Amino acid sequence: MNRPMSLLCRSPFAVVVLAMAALALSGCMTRETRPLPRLTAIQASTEIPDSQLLDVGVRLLDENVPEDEKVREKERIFPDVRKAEARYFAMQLRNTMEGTGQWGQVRVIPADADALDVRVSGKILESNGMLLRLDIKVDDSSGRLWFQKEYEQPADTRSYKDGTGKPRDPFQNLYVKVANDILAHRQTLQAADLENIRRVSELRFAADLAPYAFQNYLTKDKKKGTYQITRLPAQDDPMLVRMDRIRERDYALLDTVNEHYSLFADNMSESYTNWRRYSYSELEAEDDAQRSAMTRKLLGAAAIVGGLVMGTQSNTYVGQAAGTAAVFGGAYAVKSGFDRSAEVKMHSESLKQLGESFQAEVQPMVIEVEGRTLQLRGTAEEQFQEWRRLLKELYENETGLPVATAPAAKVQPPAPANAGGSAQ
Amino acid sequence: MTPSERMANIDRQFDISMGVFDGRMRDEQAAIAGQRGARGGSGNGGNGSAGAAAEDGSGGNDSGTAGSAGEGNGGQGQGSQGQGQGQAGQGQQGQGQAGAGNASGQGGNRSGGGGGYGGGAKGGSGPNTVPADIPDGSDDDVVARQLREAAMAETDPELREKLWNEYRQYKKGS
Repeated sequence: MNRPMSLLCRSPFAVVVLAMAALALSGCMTRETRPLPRLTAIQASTEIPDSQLLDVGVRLLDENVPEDEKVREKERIFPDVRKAEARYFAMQLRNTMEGTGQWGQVRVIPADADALDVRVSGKILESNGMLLRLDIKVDDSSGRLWFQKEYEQPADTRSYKDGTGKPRDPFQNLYVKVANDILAHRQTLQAADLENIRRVSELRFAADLAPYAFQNYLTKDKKKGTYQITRLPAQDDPMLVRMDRIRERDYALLDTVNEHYSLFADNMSESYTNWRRYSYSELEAEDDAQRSAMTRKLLGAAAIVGGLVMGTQSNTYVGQAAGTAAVFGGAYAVKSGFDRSAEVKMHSESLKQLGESFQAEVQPMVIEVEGRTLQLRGTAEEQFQEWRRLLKELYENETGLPVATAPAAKVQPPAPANAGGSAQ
Repeated sequence: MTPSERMANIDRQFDISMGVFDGRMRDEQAAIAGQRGARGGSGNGGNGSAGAAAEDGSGGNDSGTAGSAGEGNGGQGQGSQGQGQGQAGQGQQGQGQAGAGNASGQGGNRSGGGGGYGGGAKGGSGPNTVPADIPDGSDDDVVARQLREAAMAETDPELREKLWNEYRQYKKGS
């Protein structure tokens, strides 16, 4: 006989008492959550020279929705909720970074937009109101990877209890950690590196619009995917001056797209917070019910075994009666464990309904913001095509050299910061 | 046409095209600001890029941030250290300011706050009225067409007249 069984046989009464006590306790177990410390993003304390002030583009996150419907159901992933979150989280991150004063412009940009100084991309790994997990990747226009890291953050439940109009996001700590990590990396770079990043962004943008004029200023290491500046155009180069004007428009387009995302995030904020709040509460109840069901079943089974052993080994009436009582008590506990399992199913169903309901609410908002940003970028694309043509004419006129219609670009052109102006 | 005349002509087309683009962006931002205002909330992300004013076509300076137009609290337009508070246009009476984008902030940061793109439309006659001297546009090229569309869609009478003037001059030159 193994050791635990022998112990059980030696003191079955103790086991039964323990099991019954544990059963009684499991009925009144409550979850104790400590309030999380509220982190704040590091603010700029010194002035950053203009030439080192990097613009940041936070791309819409990867929604990471599984193809398989069963997987989606099991993981409680609602595609339109994820689509909304892909924009919402990007906007929260953007707002956090923007508020630090450590950066130039921080914008939420479409997933395929490229030529900003620093690009933040991410994938939603898990989001349910109780926990947020994101995979975040940061790189710069020169193709250098800053870091890729997974972030996990439990909800700050105080935000769910906060009845004010706009409570702090329950996962604000995560955005703060990301913002501080990006800053920490930037602080490891030399001033020359920062200036280089900005120049590369500018030249990549120019090389995309007018490769015949700018492609020779950059080389790309195809293996590493990094860009090197080979030489610089003259500051008063008329083509560069025109390019700057176009870039201003590119920024204007991005700003407008960003405004759409910002409005979208504001619009969904209240109902999203409510969804997360209820989702949290249901998940918590489900988790409690699940643990309670399991505990009851296990302890009930232990009480039955203990009761049977005690009944057979005891020579006294009291002992046998106690054994019988333990068996009945155990059976009752197992039954109540099954009842709790039914409760788990109820919470699970409730979560599904909550998700479906919020999805139905947010879906038209997602469609609208997608439609409007696509339309905007499509309109801008026409204009960018026009500018490409004019730039080409100007270049031909200035140099007297004809430009091949399909130049074999040495530098693989990225999209301009907006996809509207890109021919990626 | 001499090369310099040709260059000037192309540059002019650039200016016009950019003016049209700026007008569109301004209208879009005004529409967003209007929605935000209608919602009764305050915005947070006003990032209108500066220098995108149709009136001057200058391209402005580097990218000062601009607040949203129209109502709402405009963009915070917080540059690095610049606390540029985006100046929101005032719904009905927006002046359509160009983004200041004057690299002010503190210490000339590139992204100091600037003005908004401009507010909502002024009142006045409907945007689709075409002045009597404007031809039917059947022979418009792409620039003229964009200019015409922008003028027809423009709700600010002052700006609309400017766009029609641009259209007239462009048609004369083309």
